[in-house]
Amino acid sequence: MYNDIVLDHFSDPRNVGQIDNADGIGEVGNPVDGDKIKIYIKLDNNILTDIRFKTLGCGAAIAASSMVTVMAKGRNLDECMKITNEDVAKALGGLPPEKLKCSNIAADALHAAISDYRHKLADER
Amino acid sequence: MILEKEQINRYLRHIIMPEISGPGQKKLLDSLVVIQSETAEDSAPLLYYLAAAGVGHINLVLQDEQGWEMLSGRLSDLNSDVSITFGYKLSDKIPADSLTFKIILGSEVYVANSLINKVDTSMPMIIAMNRDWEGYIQVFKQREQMESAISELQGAVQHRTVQPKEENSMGRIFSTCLLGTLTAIESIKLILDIGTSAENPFDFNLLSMSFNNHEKNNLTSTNFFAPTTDACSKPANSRGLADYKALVVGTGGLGSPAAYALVKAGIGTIGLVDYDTVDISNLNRQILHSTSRMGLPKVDSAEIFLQQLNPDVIIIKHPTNFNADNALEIISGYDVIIDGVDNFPTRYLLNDACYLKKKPMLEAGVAAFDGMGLTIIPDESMCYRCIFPTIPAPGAIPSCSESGVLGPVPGVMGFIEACEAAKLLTAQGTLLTNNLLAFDALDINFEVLQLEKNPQCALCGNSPSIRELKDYKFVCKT
Repeated sequence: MYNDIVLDHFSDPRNVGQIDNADGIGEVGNPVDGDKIKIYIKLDNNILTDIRFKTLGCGAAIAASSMVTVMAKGRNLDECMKITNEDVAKALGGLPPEKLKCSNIAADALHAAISDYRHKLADER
Repeated sequence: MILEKEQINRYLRHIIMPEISGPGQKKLLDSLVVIQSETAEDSAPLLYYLAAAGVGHINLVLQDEQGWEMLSGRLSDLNSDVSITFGYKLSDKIPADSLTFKIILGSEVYVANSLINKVDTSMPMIIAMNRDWEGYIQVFKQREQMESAISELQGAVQHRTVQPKEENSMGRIFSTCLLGTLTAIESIKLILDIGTSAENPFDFNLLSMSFNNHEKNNLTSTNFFAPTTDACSKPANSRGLADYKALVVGTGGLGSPAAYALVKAGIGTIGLVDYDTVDISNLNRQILHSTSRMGLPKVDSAEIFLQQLNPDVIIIKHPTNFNADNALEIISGYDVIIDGVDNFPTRYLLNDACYLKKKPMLEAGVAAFDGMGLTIIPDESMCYRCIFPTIPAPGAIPSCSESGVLGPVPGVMGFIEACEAAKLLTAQGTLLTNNLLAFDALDINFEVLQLEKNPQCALCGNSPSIRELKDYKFVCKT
């Protein structure tokens, strides 16, 4: 069902875990499918220096989470906000059609983490 | 890739769980377990579940090798990733950082004799012993604690006056099944370093359905070593199970162990319902099936296994989708019905059909590291709808995602279903009627929740609204 890139990221996910003093945390869930993705980010000078995720869901959701962390790490926030779910699916070499809507939500989690950081920043000011 | 493509599919249900993932499965494949057991028969449930889960290296020391040949062939067909060697030949292929540990498993007499000799404390150890209906497990991780705890255990087992072992009694078969499966779970937890191991004594009694985690290492306080233990106070129905017919709906994670144990215990006729074919992702837990039987209808694959296990059993295959049109007819020819289904629409349909036909039903469900079980006798005890009145709305439950489950978890629940069925048919012991059993494998904890029949139940309440069967459907909204 899955291609080799998806199988690789699913079975050996990169950047899995959590960041205890994260600058931003984003959580998205798909109530229909039951997939839940939580992303933690750490920033230095607007650059995303560390990113971790915790995902409960199917293989596609885990692989997409892993891939989005790889794509975002080391980029600045504006670049990260431009990463779309479609970009993630493309980088994974494609996902099965039935998974595209249900499980391909990792970029949303990244964007949610960045918004969380920006809100916190605005509150501090 | 960390695992081969075929392995990712084979262990999909493990890899999907964050507690295991690919690196955890790799650890299981790299580990070595030394198993010291009395007979091939005693070690079989443990070996099936260790092999299915992909615990990669097993070194076996059997006192009596009778039956080993057939078991060995089945294990390698279940999972050829696993290498089994004999007699303390520690493989040199084991990576240095992987875990090596030991299991001593068997009847209390065998374990007592094994503990008389000096026990090697150089590696973690699991001690698992049983008698009719009852079992005991303890995990020893730290070398320092091991020596004193083992000497206490040595004392306790030797002070018991042990009844001569009754070979292949019904109670021994069921306790061996549950003991082996729980030991497989403790092994996996030890390798992955997850959950809480049974470092304090854990014991169970399947006749009274009591499961106990004892807080202190005070063995005389455990039920297993209590001086008054008298498990078989009530004589079993002398006809045994030979005259009875059991139906297993679904021959997967739950149906495999349930059918295995019932056939082993001598059920006369077993019916198998399944429309599915054997897939590689079934094999981390569905012990009736095998690599060489992939693609075969599951009922045919199960028949091959079960007929070999007991040539006398009559097997009736129902290779069909269980639905509102055929449910009542299929169940009508059986004395007891076992729920081994993997989805809510069929679970509700089966519950309703069994009530309408007044068939006793053994219910179980599993997810990840958890399981639940309930025994339902129509009109006498509560039904599934008494607790969960309506089918979960689409969306509340994962429907189009793969879901994870640790292989031996459905093993535990399926064996409990079979044991309940046997007790019900032979009128012995305490049943899980009006009692919901909740199992947490990570903490090796069983809770029994007392519940009551719901007078408002739409199926079995005072003014029921469900009087005929209806198909329920989940639609995955994409």
